[in-house]
Amino acid sequence: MTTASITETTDLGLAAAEGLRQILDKQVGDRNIATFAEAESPVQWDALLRAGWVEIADEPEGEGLSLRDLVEVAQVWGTYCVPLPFLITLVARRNSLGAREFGGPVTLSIPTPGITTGWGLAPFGSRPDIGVLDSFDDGTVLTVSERSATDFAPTLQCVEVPWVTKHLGVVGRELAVLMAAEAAGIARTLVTSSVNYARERSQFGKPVGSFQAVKHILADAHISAEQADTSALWAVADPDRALEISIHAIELAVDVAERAIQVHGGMGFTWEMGLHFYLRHLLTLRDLVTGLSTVTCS
Amino acid sequence: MTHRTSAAFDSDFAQDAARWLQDNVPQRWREHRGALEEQEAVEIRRQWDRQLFEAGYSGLSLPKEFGGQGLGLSEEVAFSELAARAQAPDGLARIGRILTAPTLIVHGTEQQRQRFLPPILQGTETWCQGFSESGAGSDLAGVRCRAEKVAGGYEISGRKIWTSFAAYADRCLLLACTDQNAPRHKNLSMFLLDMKQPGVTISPIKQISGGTHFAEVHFDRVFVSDDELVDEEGSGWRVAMTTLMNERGGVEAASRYIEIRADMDLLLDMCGDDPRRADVLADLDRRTELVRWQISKAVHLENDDAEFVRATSILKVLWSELWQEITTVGLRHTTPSHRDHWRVQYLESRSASIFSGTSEIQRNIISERVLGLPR
Repeated sequence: MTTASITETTDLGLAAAEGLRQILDKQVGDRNIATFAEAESPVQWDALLRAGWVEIADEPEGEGLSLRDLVEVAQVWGTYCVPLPFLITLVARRNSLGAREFGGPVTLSIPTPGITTGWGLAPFGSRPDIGVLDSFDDGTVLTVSERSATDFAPTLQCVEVPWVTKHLGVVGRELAVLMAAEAAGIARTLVTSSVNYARERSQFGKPVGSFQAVKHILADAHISAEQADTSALWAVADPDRALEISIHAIELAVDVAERAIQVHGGMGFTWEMGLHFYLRHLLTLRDLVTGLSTVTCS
Repeated sequence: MTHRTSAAFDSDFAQDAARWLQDNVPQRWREHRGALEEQEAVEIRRQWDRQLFEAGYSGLSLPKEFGGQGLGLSEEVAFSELAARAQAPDGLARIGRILTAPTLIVHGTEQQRQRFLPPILQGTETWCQGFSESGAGSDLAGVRCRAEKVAGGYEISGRKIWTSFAAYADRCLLLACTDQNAPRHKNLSMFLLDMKQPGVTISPIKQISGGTHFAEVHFDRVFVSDDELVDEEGSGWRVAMTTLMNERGGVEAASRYIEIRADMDLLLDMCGDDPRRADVLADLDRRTELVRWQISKAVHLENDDAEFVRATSILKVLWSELWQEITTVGLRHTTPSHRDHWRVQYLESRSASIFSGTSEIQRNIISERVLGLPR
């Protein structure tokens, strides 16, 4: 694989991403994340299922959508930050017959820093209809019985589970790359909404976005968001370093989120403005991918 | 733990180029880069331009009809990376190749292209860039160097500053004021001035690094013919924007990547095994490679204007500030044998966030032209 080809978008990936964008745009539009982060998802799982999105990546690499194609999809998904176990289910189904046969949403229990040894963090593990795959080696999907809820990132609804999904193998790499792409999508949303805010918010009789000090924060946010996007593409191209590069992409997105909060001033620090939901989401992705990097073989 | 990029370069072009570089990079440069006397370094760099041309590696992304190789930015990027690995010199032809040539392809006459492009590509004519003045740096539209109409051409009088390669240059891509009464942005014109004539005085400017890579150039009624006016009188600002876009764009960044990658590799060789530096080095290494990927991404967005600008707008800030950080770390943790190198590079790299648009100007451009924030 050459450097040249991997940064190029594919028709298949773009078409899939565009399809998803249309659905999300119709159902979420420009609703503030704060209106749904802690409430019901504006998109229903069944709607995704009926439209065929849950099965979209069922064929493994080489036959259906490639990981590069899914990066486009994950970026769009990140742009809307809808609280559904979409990406993790795609990856689980793509790599496990057990996950495909389960039918419903599937999650994984991922060892992450700062939780009890031997336990894992399962995104969306608090959903009643979700199952946790116990292993990628002939694994079966179990319903979560013993768990302790963590509510740090409402859009990821993680719970702690007393065991971890085994034999993550290459799956960890795929999930890490898609989480990096998701983070890049979030970063771009944050740049856009911060720019809009800076154009509308007025102080000293002028939009705050006309002040150079504010402009440069936004320029730096753009620089980080662009690099987050590029990092996700690099992570696809470089399996040996995919995990560390994915973490790097998420770090860059975190940088964007911090700048977004600063540009929004006092409002940025309020719960109702909702920027913290993105930041919490990103920090949790960072934990998950850091965890994946400890158990994934390239 | 020396990290090198793991992306395979398996195209025929890349394999041939790698082999050619392996056989042709001067050993003297490979082993003593940085410690050479200026005269010798200049000779090696000049010779390198000619070697590149003879082997067909000059003007990779310039169209064939203009004497280039007709390849794309991706080959430029691949070649830059391979050149970096082979520790190849950076030629003297860069201003001509990266700035003058693309500018003439867009704005030049057929006659100008035929006259000026071949020697640029062959490495037989060296160019310098006469844009900045002491009163017109970030505010480039404030250029005051005068071009007065005379029979058959113009007479140039004034001063240019920060002119790289001035002492070796045969020609200058010169921005001058043709009409002091015309409104801003309508008063400038671009010229292709012959440096080897009476009235051109070059005073080297000693830099903080101790080198004299640039100069102040004084023009005292220096003649340029009508044939050496680019585009038309009064269009200099528009022509300069084409030049600056190239100066801050992918090809330039790909060539800067050479130097940064080499410094990064030296840093890894020097203290890559030291666990206390591991996090910092890994971060710098990732960011170095990210510059390459950022260029590579831009390559594929060339046909999508908005996305292309989005991807290239950040390149100048990225590589300049990264290089400064690398040299800072290099200097801090240097071994005695590399101290001179890091001192020079550290001081040299201070200029990177100033020339061809300061980091502050770059951030203004990003925020106003890419993000659309009000002026």
